[in-house]
Amino acid sequence: MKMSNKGTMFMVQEKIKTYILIMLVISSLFFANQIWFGNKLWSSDYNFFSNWRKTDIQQTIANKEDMINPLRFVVNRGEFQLAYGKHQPTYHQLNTLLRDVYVTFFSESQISHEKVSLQQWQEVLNSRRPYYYIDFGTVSSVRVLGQIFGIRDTSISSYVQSLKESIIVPGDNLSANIVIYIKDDNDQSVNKFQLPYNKAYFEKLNEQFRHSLEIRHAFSFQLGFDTPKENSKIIIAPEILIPVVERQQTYAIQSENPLDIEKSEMREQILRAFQYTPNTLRQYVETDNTVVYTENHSTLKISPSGLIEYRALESGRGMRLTDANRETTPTVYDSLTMAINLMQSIGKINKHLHLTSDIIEDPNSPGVHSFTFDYYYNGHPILLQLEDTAVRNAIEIEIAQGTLRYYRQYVRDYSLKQLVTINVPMLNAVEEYYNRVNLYPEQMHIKQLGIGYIENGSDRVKLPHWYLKLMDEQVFHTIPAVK
Amino acid sequence: MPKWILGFIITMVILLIPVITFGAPDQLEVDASGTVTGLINISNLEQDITFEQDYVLRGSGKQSVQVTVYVYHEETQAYKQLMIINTEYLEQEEEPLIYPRQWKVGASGLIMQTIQLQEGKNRFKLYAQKDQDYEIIDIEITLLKRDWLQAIKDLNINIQQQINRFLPMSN
Repeated sequence: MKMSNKGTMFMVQEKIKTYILIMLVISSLFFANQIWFGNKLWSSDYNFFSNWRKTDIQQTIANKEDMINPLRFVVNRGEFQLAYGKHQPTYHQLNTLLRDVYVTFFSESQISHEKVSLQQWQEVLNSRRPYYYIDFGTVSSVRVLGQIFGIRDTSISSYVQSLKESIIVPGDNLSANIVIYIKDDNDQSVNKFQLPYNKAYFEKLNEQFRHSLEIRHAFSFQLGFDTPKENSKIIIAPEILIPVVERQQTYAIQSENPLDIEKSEMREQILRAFQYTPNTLRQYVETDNTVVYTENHSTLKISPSGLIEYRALESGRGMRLTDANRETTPTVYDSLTMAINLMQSIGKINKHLHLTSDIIEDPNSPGVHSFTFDYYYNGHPILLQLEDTAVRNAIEIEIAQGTLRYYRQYVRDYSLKQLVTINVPMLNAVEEYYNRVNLYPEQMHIKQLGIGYIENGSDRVKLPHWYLKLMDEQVFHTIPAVK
Repeated sequence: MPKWILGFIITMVILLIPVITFGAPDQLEVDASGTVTGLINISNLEQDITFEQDYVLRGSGKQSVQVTVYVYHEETQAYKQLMIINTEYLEQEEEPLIYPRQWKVGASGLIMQTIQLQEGKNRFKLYAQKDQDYEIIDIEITLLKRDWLQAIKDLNINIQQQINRFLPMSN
């Protein structure tokens, strides 16, 4: 009896040991996962697991394109033009087609090319035949643009250095070619290319636009507003689009600050994006409740107002964005990829952004690249007018030799509110500003002009405003568009 | 009549004289012409055909010039002021506001005004006035249907295709 009791007890003990052993193995696996892939106990310089991120090249390229897709397409309707921004379904329809044209174009190894005059460029824009004018909003190196479209080394870069605008003319059915005009921003020359392309889809689009009821526009040069006249005091840059209607409808919008420092998940995602280790941070709080973290020869500030700011304390010691063993100097394309990867890792707070700085290699500063991104919502730019006047762009990034030198982001999210009528015509707004600054009888040269929303940090509903930038100025001026 | 009433009437007449003298007339004859030129300059006068119902007048003018649009009426063989109905009032079921199509050139000197055309020939006069001077500009523009444009294009392509049948293809 005693023997069987002992045997039973032994069995029970063995079972308990087995259970404890299983629990220990499971818990060690769990904590190992936390340490290796979650909260790391050491900085990224020593943790080779920290680079085990999913590097989906296709996903990276798709998101890059989204931020540097054309700002707008302009479709010629004969005597007027129709403009399409990202908020419109037609934009995406056009983007799909014209992207295919660009990929075919950049892939060509041999292509018919000639230089034409600036006058011919304007004649094309002023003609009655269908064309598609593409405005990227910023100047891009043709080589980099080709890379973004998936072509490593486009032959087009031997003809054109950089571009911001181009025109695609489908032409008629008698020729198998479409014609592409590109204005080289480097020297303002105009290049004309003939590209063999199937025009079937263009014909379908042409028919669609023939019956469109979208707002009519005209280029400033078509109205004669781009050159000095005896009586006119305002000169508007030639390719600014001017709506020829007195009223138009659009949406008022609302902004909110999605950055909540109290939420640990959001805070930790930001910290990890900058390779800060949440468990071993040094931090302090400033008088305005901005939390300041210091680690890895850098500081990271997260403010309740929605500002994130990273600064490397010593040159070259900032967060590494690329392989430390890299031998070649990062190109502007490489740095742009790193910048967008970083923005993606910060989280879903990065929406409605568009690249607003030029993508050009500076031969005097190899490997050093700066980028700015701004919010665009409902097809219009969000213009920052904050108390801190140094914050002029939604995101500013500076990367040097693959390390992050500086990053600042003003975090905001936007939503549509009510429909409003813009009852102040564009020219009236321009005149109102002209009178306001009391320039008469001096002339005023406008280089940018359009509709935007002012972001001043409040949660109030934002009505559309006309904004303009003058030649040789960086600041914008605004006039209410709804009265 | 008491003196004060007489004085009041004389004062009102003196005040109203500039309006009576310098206001745009209700009607213009076909051969009406102005006293000066150069008050305004319309840059697209040469255009005589359009396929768009919205015709955009564009140009420049001297500051404070008041421009009134007149449209030709067949029955009276004269030009009358083009009147605009403010449709916002119609939606609110209030009495619609009707006013002449006119504007004043601002400090910028730029002109961009849209006029809606009727199908066929449209004849307008622009009456530009500053103080006692006025200038009259004639505009004639024909609105064609879009079908016309397509017919012209189709005819053009057909002719080209027929010609190309007999010509060698070039690379």
